[in-house]
Formats: sequence, C-alpha cells, structure tokens
Amino acid sequence: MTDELREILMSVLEVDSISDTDSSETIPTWDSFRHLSLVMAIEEHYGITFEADEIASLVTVRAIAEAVGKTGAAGGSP
Amino acid sequence: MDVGSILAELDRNPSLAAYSTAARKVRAAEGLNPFRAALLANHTFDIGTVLTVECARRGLALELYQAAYDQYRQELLSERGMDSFRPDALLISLALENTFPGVSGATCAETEKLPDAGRWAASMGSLISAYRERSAAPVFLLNFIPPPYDMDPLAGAGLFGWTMQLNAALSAMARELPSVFVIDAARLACSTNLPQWRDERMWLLARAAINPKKFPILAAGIARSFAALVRPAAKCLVVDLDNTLWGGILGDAGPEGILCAGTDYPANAYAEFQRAVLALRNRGILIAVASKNDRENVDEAFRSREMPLRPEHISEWEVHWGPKPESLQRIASRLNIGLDSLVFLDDNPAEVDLVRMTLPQVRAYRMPARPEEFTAFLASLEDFDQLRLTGEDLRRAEMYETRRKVAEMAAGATDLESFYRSLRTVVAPEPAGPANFERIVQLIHKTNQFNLTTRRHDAAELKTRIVRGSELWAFRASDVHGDHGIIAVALIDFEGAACVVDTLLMSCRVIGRTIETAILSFLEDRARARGATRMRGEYRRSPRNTMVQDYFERHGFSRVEGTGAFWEKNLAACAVRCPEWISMEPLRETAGAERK
Repeated sequence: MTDELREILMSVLEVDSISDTDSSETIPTWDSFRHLSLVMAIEEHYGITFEADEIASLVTVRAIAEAVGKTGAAGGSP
Repeated sequence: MDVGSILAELDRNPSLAAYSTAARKVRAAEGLNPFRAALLANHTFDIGTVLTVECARRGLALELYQAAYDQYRQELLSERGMDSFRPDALLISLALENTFPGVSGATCAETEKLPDAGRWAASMGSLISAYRERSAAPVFLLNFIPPPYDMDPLAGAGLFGWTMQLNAALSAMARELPSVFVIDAARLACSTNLPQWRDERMWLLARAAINPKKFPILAAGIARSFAALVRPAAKCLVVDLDNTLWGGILGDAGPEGILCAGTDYPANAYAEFQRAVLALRNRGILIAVASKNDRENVDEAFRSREMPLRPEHISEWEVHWGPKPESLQRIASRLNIGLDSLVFLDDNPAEVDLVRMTLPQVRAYRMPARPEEFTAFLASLEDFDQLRLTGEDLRRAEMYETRRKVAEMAAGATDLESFYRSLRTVVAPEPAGPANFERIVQLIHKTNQFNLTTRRHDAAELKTRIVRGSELWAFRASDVHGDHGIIAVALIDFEGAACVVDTLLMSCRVIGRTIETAILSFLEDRARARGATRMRGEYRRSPRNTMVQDYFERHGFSRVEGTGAFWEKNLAACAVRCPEWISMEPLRETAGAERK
C-alpha cells in the first residue's frame, strides 16, 4: 500500500492508522455505507473506474491496493 | 488550525478524500455552534462527513444521528433513537424509486398509472405531524431528484414532469405545517449535470441513489438551510452605483451615457441586476446606496433615465466623496440596525478591501467581472437567506419608509408630547397562537437592541412554558402612517406572588414613542389579574442591548440587593399607566379562546 492510498483510507474511514491486513472486518467504521464513499474517493483520486462486480470484493486493504495497482495507477503494492 | 484555513486548504483540492480529512479537522476546531441533526433516508446516503464540513463553513458544529436504512416512518411515528438524540433539526431524504416501488426512470409515464402526488404528500404530512406531537424541531425535506433517464422525454412531460409534480405537492404540504421546509435538491441536481447525480453501479449494487461526488453541492444546500435557522439574515443591501447598479461612470458619461435600461447588451444586464435588487426589496430587504458621486448628478440620473430601480425604492443615500466605511456606519445607524446586518456590494476592490478591513462585521463583496454575472452572483449570496417569509417581511421596506416619515415629524414637532399625540398610536396585545407564533419566534431570534434578556427560546421551549402556566404575548402597533404588524413580544412567568418578566423585546422600528411603557402597563394588569403582588425583571447585558439598561429603573422598579441584574417592584404601590397618547386595544374574547 502506498502512502497516498494509506492517506485516503485513513481519512475516509476516520482511523489514525491502517495496515495491509486490515479490512471491513477489523475497522468498525468500514460499513456498507462508508464502503461506497471509500470506493468513490479512490476512483476520484486515481481517475479510475472499478468494474461494478469488483466493488463488493474491495473490502480488504490488500484487495484495494491490488485493484488500484492493476489499473496502472500509482496506488498498487510495491 | 482554524476553520478558515482548513476550508481554504480543502477548496484548493476539493476531492472526497480531502473532505474526509477536512471533516476530521473541523470536528476538533473551536468557535462553532453545536448543531444536532437527525438524518432519515430510504437509500444508502453517507453524506455525514461532507455535511460536517459544509456546516462548519457556515459556523455550525454538526453532530449527526443517522437512522437505520428506510426507518423514516418508524422514527417519525413513534419514539425511537432519534428522540433521545434530541435533534435541533430533522433531515429527510427519500429516493424516488425506493419511495414508489415499481416506479423508475424506465417507467413510461404516458402509459402507466402513477400514484397521485397530492395524496402521497398528504400522507407524508401526517407522518411529520405525528412527530410534531413529540417535538417542535424543524423538519427539512429534500425533494425528489428526477431519475437520470426518462422514457418519455419528447411526447410528454414524462417521469421528469411527474417528479416535479411530486415536488410541488411536497412544497405545498410543507407550507401548511409549522417549521417544515423543503430543500430543493431537484434544482441543485438539474443545475449541475443531472445524469451525474447517480452512479448507476452504486445504485444497482447498494441502493445509493445519490452519487457521493455530488455530496458537496447537496451538503452546501442542506447546510445553507440549517444555517438560516440560526444565523440572522442581513437586513439591508448597500450598493455602489457606477459599474455596479449601472454601467459606466456617471461623472464622465453623464446621466444620458450610463447603461441601465433597454434591450441592448450590456445595459440589459445592469437592468436585470436592478430588477434582482428590487426583488430583494420586495421581500423585505432594505436597499441603500453608497457611491462616490455628486448628489445632483445622481438625482438627475434617476430623474431622467428609465430604470427598474426608482429613488423611492432606496431607503438611505450616501452619495458624496467621503470614505465608504463612514457611509456604511451612517446607514446602519439611521436604519437602527447593526453593521452585521449590512451587505455591501462594490465593483472596486479597494473599496471592498477597505470596508473589510475597517468594518469586519459588514459582509462586503466585490462584484463579478462582467455585468451578465451580476444577477447570478446576487442570487448566490446566502446572507439574505430566510426559510419562510412572514407578512412583516413582505411589508418591511414600506414600514421603514413610514418610520422615516415619523422621524421627520418628530423633528418638526415642537414638543415631544404633541408629537406622540400626533402619531395616534394604537397597541393591540394578543396571546400567542397559531396565527402569530412564527412571527413571535422570529422576533425572539433576531431582536438585539430593545431586548431585556436576549433569551433565544425556541418554539418547543415556548410551548412548554405556556403549558406550565406562563403567558406569551405579542403586541401589534399601528399609527397614522399605517400598520406596523407585530412589533413586541413578552413572556411572563408566575412564581408564587411574583410575576417574572422572562422576555420583553420590541422591534427597533417603533422605539422612542413610549410603546414600551404601554406594554408594561398591560403586563402589570395581567400580573394583578393572576393574583401577583410583585413584579420582577432582569436586565441581562448583551453587546447590543444597552439602550434598555435603564428600562426597569425608569418604570419604578428597584434593584434587588446583592444582585447586579434583578429588579423588583410592589404592584400595589407603584403601577405604570398606559401613556394617554397610546390607546391600548382591549383583548378580544376570541383571542383568549385561541390560547393553548
């Protein structure tokens, strides 16, 4: 996870730290409402659009980092 | 970090992530007024963070209670989580397709029978009325945003037209209910690329009816309404003349050369702006002029040129070569309003900067670069926001005109008493009731100068007090010049043998003619009628109410020893009489029956 992505995750999910192993299971504010805001914020930041059937699976930090990386935007895993 | 710099940083790059960052920062900021809102929605609607920021921009520290998905009926009908949260306001957001199952953008409005708009609005009205039984908190309804596509865009009005009918029915319903207001989400959406208001993926995956990318626009609209509840509206618009109210420099071009009328550009743009200024006046905003010009030239321009704004529409003139901050101070003092009630518009950035620097209370703005942008700019100002206009608002400009005539008469009268007599003032007390309640609350919230305690009771508190035996009175005044409407409010409590003046306030447009004495004589009568033998009052100093610091002393009260602010009198020993030049109308029988 890049610092850039970490910043977005921390702001939108309102947490002070986040790690690669975190997910909607470990972060209480990451509910289904907030999930949409998170996806939109990431799309907006990187100028990308996720596939509709991909969105529901982006509920772990790792999955998001991979999905962003796959698009060629600068947010993927190192 | 102060709110101003947090917002400045956000506005440089207003992304959704930046809004989240800003929301966290403003939550820790100081100097904002707490505001509790409960959000009821029947779609996935995570607007909290963005709304927090837009509320902070308008001075409010938002605390949000978000009801569970689609629980708005339950929350309105019976006591639930929302009631214990004790919201200052309710916000209801309904998605068209979730409210009317089976209806969507794919519905053909021409061939399918759609639900009746009026009947649906009535059912919504009864849900809100059920909540009203428990709370007086204002209710804000976001109206329906039309779906992003429409099967009948050409042949008929289609689903878009039906949505607008629903919204019209919603507005009509809201006008009939106390403190229910519509926020025009449809207008916001239609003016900012309607199809983008829905992200089709988010809608189909998660019933999120509104694209989070549009939250900043929508949240600004919502926060604007919230702020209008608490922030006093500006009362006077002060405009510059050259290149503001008309095009060109009067001193150079002469009265015939300025651009202010006709069908040619850019004169028609200035004329349109003048009509917008006039529209503000018609809803109660006073218009004043502050211009560096020769007065004779300006008078000649208004006399010889046809333009929408006429001299009689302008309440105060400051036309000379002196500094504008002084002009603004004189305008405020002559109109008897605070500097914070003035909005100042000028095309000259130096004038605007000078006013901002020397009179920070005045809301000063520089005009946009081109005259075709003027009217939209004026419409975008939130300073004149009012959630609902009362009859007094619509007649205010006229009433100020009356007051000026009174002041002229006072200057002409040889002694004060003959002046009072010449006014032939009539004061009519009336108990609080449905017909005057909104105006009473409005006066309690905006009267600063003639206000003994400046207690900003809300509607709920007032109702509670009445139920507990307090008396809430409104006073109308009229005179030879016309009807002033409701100009004063008093709330009196009864504690054993004492009648306590909790609130006594009067609109500044009728001060200086002894109406305050007439009102006290009436209140003392009420106290005696209820068996009180003593009258007690309190003067709570505020930054603006020094004009009434001697009120109790002037009316025979003595200071209660050991306190700085309490005053008392024995009603039997020292009664106040209604001045003989004021006639106090007797209470009407029916008025008493209205009282709750």
